[in-house]
Amino acid sequence: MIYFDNITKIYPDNCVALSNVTFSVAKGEFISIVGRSGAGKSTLLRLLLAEEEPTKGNLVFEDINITKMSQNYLPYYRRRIGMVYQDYKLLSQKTVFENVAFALEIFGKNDSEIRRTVPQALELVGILDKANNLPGQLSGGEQQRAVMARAIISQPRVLLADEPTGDLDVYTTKEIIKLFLKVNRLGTAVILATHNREVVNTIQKRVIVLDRGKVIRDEQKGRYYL
Amino acid sequence: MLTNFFRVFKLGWQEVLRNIGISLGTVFIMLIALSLLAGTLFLRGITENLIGTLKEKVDISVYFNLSTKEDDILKVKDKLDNFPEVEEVDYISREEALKLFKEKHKDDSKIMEALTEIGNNPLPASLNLRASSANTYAAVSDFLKKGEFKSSIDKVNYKQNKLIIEKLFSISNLIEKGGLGIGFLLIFIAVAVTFNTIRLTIYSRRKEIEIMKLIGATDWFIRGPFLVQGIVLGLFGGILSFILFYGVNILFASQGSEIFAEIGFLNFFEKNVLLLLLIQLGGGVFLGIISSFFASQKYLKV
Repeated sequence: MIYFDNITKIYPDNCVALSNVTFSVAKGEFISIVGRSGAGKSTLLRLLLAEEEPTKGNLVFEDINITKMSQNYLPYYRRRIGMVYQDYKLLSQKTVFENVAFALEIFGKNDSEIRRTVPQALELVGILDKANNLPGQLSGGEQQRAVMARAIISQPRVLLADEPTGDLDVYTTKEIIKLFLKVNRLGTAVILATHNREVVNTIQKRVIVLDRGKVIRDEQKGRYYL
Repeated sequence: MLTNFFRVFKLGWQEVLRNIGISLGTVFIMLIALSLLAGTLFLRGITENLIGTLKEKVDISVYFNLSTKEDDILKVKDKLDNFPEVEEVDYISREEALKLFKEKHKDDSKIMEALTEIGNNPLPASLNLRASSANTYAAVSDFLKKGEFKSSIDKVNYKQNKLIIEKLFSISNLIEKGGLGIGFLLIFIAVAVTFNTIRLTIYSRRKEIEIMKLIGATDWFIRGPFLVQGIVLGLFGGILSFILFYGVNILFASQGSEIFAEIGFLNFFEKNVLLLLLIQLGGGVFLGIISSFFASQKYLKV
């Protein structure tokens, strides 16, 4: 489904973030991308979201070569991807319901569809009872669930997560990881970037290890060790 | 598509309300700029109208020999009254002419002295005619110089309100230049203020915009609300400016209506009310669109 074909990303100050990265992601796969801070995990996700362009190489998502995609198509391309962030990126003046509905509004869905699907997504992530709360009134774990609801509501082909458990305690982290696995079982591919050893070892799925911009290991049932 | 359109409109409207203080300030500047510009155009229309009317009108003065009897003069007056283009005939007797002359030159001691020296009244009696068309002069002049009264007539003069017209021209020119100058300056300020208002909105919503982009909002969807915001601000400026004009018009209509009726002020307003509305609303919307277009172009980076 996704092909990283010899991707190199060099930032203007000659800082090599990724060098000759090649791997593919199958439909419905769960991949953990691990490595130290600065290993290139975030860059990898940013390239996939087309926030940045690779310096060299091709990046293909299903039928689209992202490196050659026209700017006009970018928004429609992004709708195939759900994204979860460490800092949540929820709008603080909107309720949880409105935050999730916001995504559907952007996609041009009508109000009755929004009223129908938002509670379903909130139910799936387990915070339906917080629908009318503002993000500030929620715990970190609950906020991350809200972000996941927003990310999956458009039924993306892949869910990207950049350190989603970075600010969460151990117990909440486990809950969130369970949620990722649940979403994955429902058919969405997941690419999880993390440096949390515990997390990776409990998932027991494919692990790609990055070190200074290079893929140093790619194992089907991997563990996190350096 | 329609859902999107309404949503963009709603978002833009929310931005106007959310920053109501800034919005009001922007509308106020728009109001001043549009009013001044429309006012200048309006004034120009009125002066042109007025000058047109004045050009058509002529004053004709008929001076009689000193020996002419009053009865004969009044006969001529009756005849002239029957001319269709002649609006008004005033008879000024020799005594009245003297009185007017003295009144006019009462501060000029030399003239007054000369007058006393002459002793008797040197001024002729005259008829002052006001005609609605310049052609009347030829007809009146022909009638007087070739008819039965030619022996008692000294001379026939006319003047085309030339002085007044020239004065009006120079005054209106001055007002026009000044008005347009200040008007354009204010337009520039209005655009700058609106531009800044939109910029502030973009800044205060930058987080939302970032998320919108990442989720997959189209450029149009992101930019649309800001254009709506600009349009709404301009529209309100235009509407208020029009209301201001309308109010001033009503004020003039209720007070001093005679003067303004004379120069065709109210008439002119009524005739051009739609054009005025169009200029002010259209101008406001245009300013709003220009400002928000450039602000979003510069600060949105979509």
